[in-house]
Amino acid sequence: MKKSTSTVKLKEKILPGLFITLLILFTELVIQIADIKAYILPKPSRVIGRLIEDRDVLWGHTVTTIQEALLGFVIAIVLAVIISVIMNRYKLLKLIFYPVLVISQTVPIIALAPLFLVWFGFGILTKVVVVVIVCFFPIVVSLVEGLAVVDQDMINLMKSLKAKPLDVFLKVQVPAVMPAFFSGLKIAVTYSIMGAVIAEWLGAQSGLGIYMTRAMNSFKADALFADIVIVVVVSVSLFRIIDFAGKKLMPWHKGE
Amino acid sequence: MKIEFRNVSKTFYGEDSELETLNNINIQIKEGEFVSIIGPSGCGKSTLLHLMTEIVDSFEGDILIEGISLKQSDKLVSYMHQKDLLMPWRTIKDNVTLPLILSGKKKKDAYKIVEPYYKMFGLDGFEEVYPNELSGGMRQRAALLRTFMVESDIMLFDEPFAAIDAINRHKLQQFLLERCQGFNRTIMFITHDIEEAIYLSDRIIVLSQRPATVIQDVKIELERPREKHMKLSVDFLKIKEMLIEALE
Ligand SMILES: Nc1ncnc2c1ncn2[C@@H]1O[C@H](COP(=O)(O)OP(=O)(O)O)[C@@H](O)[C@H]1O
Ligand SMILES: [Mg+2]
Repeated sequence: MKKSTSTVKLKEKILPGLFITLLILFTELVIQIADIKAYILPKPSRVIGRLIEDRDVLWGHTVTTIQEALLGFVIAIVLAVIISVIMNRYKLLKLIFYPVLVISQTVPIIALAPLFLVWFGFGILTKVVVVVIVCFFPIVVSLVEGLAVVDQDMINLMKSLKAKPLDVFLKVQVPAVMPAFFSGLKIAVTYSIMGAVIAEWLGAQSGLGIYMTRAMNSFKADALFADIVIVVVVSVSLFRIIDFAGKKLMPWHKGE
Repeated sequence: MKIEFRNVSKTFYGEDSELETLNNINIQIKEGEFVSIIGPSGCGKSTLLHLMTEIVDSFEGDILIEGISLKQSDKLVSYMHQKDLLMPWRTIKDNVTLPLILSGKKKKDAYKIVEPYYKMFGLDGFEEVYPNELSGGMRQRAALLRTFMVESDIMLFDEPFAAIDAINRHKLQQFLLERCQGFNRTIMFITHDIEEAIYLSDRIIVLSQRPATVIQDVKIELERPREKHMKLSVDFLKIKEMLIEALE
């Protein structure tokens, strides 16, 4: 029994990695054979070369982007928690504002972004605002929906035990909403880097977005891909960290 | 009287609807009595207990506990739902001590108080386990233990064994009877299982279709302790027949 589950785990870990490696090798081969120009599609080996060559510069840009993303992510969490608790407490507010929230999500943020630049300038503020906007929605939705399905009978049980409202909140509502909350966080944290990158496209001193723009403007496809690789790796790492934190905080929540 | 319902009526008001649920209920329960309440589903049985636990807090008439009106009384009553309502995020130990914690006990003291009961409730060795790792029967026993940890001599049960299969249900009934003996608890027990009601109770109150009124109040004269074979005795079956008729 034990052995078979551990081999399944091993398979889960190894197979995707193996697949990606093969894919990279295959791409390398195809580009080599078809003799595709580097400015159209660079070989993976060139991209790796660029990553190594530009590592100091890229590191600086990466740090900037992570800072913006995390700052925005944390602010989005705080806002989402406050707003969802209020909407859960006052159903009328939820009735009015929840649909508005959903509608607001259909506005293409990329179209509004230049305006943000006018409002908030070329500094970090614009980037953080964009990140907050993209992260806020998945978190607030997970919280609002999660709070709405907390078992009323469990709350009634607490009432029958003459529990104070604060106890009901801390001992039932908060833990009950945790799994949904973490699902929202995982989505949001992967958006956060994207949000920061998009905001940087508009103009910035430093960041993976501005590096990307420069790479595109000078037709350095290898630099562009190097940048993309970093965006992916950072996003996945952040996702993993949140996932890990969730498992540590919710030892009862197994599966999925 | 330990518990007294005096002319209790309850109507739920919706946005443009009224649901008359309880209609002039009068019930008296003596200290130490085990009273079952049966009635068609949706007639208002659960509502009766919701009034007592103040989960629902507006109604007509009065409910007295030990002679004191519910509104003035700060008496705790212990309440168990059909669902075990164990909190998935608390271990069994933390679930069963919840009533003690809420009444202001320190964690350490609460753990100490509950310690001797794990064995009695067939839960020893499972203290640190999360509820989703337990079988339905064990979860229900844990819920029962939590119900016993409420510092109150009045216990309300709302179809506590309805979701349990027949074999385990009988075990739990037996278990409840044993646990109640010598504890001098006053019990209101809702069930839709007539046999269960007869087997456990000193008295059975039959409610009508909604809006519920009391249509029968039957004293069960079977001797105690109750034993399995009594379910097949003539007296038992006579009561059963009468109750089935009353419900029709
Ligand atoms: N909080 C409530 N608000 C509105 N209607 C309710 C509420 N609680 C119960 N009811 C209604 O009252 C009736 C009796 O419910 P209940 O007491 O749960 O019945 P029973 O437990 O006998 O099956 C049902 O029609 C139910 O829909
Ligand atoms: Mg009911």
